[in-house]
Amino acid sequence: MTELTSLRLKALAGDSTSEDALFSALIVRFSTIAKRRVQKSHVEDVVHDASAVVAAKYRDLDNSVNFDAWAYKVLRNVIANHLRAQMVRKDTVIDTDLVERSPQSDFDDSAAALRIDLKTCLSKLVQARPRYAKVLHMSLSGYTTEQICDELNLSRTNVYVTLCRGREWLRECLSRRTEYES
Amino acid sequence: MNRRCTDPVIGQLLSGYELDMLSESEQESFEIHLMACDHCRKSVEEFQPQMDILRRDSDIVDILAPSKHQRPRAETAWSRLVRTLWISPPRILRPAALLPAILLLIVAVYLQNQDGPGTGDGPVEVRSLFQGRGPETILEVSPDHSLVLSVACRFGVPGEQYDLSLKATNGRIVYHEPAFRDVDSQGILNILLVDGLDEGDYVLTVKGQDHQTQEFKFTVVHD
Repeated sequence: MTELTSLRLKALAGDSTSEDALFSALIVRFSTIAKRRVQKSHVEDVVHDASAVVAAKYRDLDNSVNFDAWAYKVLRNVIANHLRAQMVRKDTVIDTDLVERSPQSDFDDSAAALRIDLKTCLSKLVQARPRYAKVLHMSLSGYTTEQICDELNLSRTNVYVTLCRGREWLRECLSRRTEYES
Repeated sequence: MNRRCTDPVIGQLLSGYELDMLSESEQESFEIHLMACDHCRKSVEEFQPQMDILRRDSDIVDILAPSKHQRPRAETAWSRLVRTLWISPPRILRPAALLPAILLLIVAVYLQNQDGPGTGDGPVEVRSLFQGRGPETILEVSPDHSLVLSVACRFGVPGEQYDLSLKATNGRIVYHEPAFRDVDSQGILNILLVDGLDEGDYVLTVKGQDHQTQEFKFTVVHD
């Protein structure tokens, strides 16, 4: 049983602390996913809307239904509605989010330091994990997963495993540099 | 934070998720997984700033470009031909690659036989000379045949070099090879006389490198 399901059952039993914990946990999870789908300034709104839907309906949900998957689908629907509304708005209104998303706008000092570390680690990565470097480069250059598989003669699973191992290497390299600097 | 992913199989999609490489169904599976797995969710959160830089900064991405570390070698016309005939489908083309090799082999065998004893010069006869057979040794040979004299020299050693001299009794030198090396594993010297020998008496002198000498006297008669 997952943490969310467990909290929901306790909340249904009348435990208000568990209900608070349930929605705190949901907001964290929704935020992680929403950040990848909508612009930063809209994340909070989307997460709030999705949480409101869950709060209104979770008591009526059949216990046989997977709560995690159901809550996720609620979020997906809210995000889809949000994006549809955004598309309509973009036809008539100047999109201020483009300014927000411009490369220079939110680069602060810590981002600059991170950029230097990342540059150093990627240079090492090219030697240490050449296959990951290649897949990463192709992905960031706009290749689809199918094109990468064809180009490198790898299965999808192999591509994902390669990415995971390389990412772990990169993460460790970055954390070592952070420790060294501190 | 849980130290382990709750579902390592779906957890392998993590990096693909960050790079937007997943199919719609894979993405949905992974995001449902994120609802339950603190490990993966926190990992995504923690790596978000790095991923943002990677997405936005083309200078950094260029570090990973193949030209910076492993530029693929340009394909030559030869390698393209080999790849076409040998590796890439349709594999039915493989026999086409074998055909020139077979033809080359046939030509090589033919040429080798051209150089071999007697080929093109008529049949070859082999006659043996042994120590102790004396001057009465009579070799019956056909007049038009090449002749191989197999000489059992007492100091014949494979790889050694010998000075051979074949004289007719009238003093004419019929054959002379100062650096003869054709000695088989039994120590037998095989001397090819392409034009055969005329009838008459002969003396074959074999000299070793340590000045050992052995003579073989024999008479040739034509049959």
